[in-house]
Amino acid sequence: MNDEARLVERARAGDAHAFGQLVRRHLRAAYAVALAVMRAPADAEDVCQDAFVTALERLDDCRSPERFGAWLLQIVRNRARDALRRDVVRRAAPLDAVAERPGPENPAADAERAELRERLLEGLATLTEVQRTVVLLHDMEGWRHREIGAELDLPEGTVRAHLFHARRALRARLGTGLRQES
Amino acid sequence: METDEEPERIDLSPLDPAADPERWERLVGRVLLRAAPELERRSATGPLTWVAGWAMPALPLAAAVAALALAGLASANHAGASEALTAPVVQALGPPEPAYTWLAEARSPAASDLIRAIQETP
Repeated sequence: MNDEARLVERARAGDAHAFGQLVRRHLRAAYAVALAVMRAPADAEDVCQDAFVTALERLDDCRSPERFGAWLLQIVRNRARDALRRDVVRRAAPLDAVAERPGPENPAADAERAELRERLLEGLATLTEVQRTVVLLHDMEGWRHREIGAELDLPEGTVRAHLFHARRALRARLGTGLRQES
Repeated sequence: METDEEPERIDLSPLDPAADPERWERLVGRVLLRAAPELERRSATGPLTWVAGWAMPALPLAAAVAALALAGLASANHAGASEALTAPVVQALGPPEPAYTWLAEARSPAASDLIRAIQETP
């Protein structure tokens, strides 16, 4: 039994600390997947909350606790798609506005970051869901092609192709103002 | 090949919720807050609760078995068989000690009788 499976077992018994560790371990990837579907950060956060609670409630159905992460992300994706389909997710820009409110120390930099964030979201909106998922998991979460392929049930070459097209489209959309990592 | 000319990694850090530690902790906190009732329910569902959950449906079954056994004993007693006859039969069946009383008295067991019988069964 690996560490992941041990945490799942403890969470099954109601161990809040173990569940908290699972949340911290998987929340970023869950957020990336939710954002790829929802396209709005506040909605993605809502979906993440729902998905983690659903996962906890259904924890006894997780047959491979050592693969809790993959199982969770499937729940995240389903919850996000359901939310989109029902169109009941609140459009909560205020949450983001609060989070991105310019701070007193460097309001210019904060404003620039908020603008970049909006442009990134607009660029992501032009991609397909799978392209968004691939580019967010790879470029934001640092996943490898192989890991993304396993998660999305796609060949590694297909993941590379999605990443290529996603980056190219984003760069074309965002132009030269987009910062690059070396 | 496309991968050879793969565009450079795009900096998506402005979208990273963990880039703002306060916001990140708020998100984690909201998840844990919403999970708290389910965690509490699970922690309350310990081994004893599990046994109780199993034992409760078993009680009616045990009562039915006991009723059948009593019916058999009663029919064996119908020709004026005495308690002296019943006792060896009961002993031969080998029920738990508390069951002797109500079997020998040829009465239906109360819930407390069944619970005692289950508790004292080796």
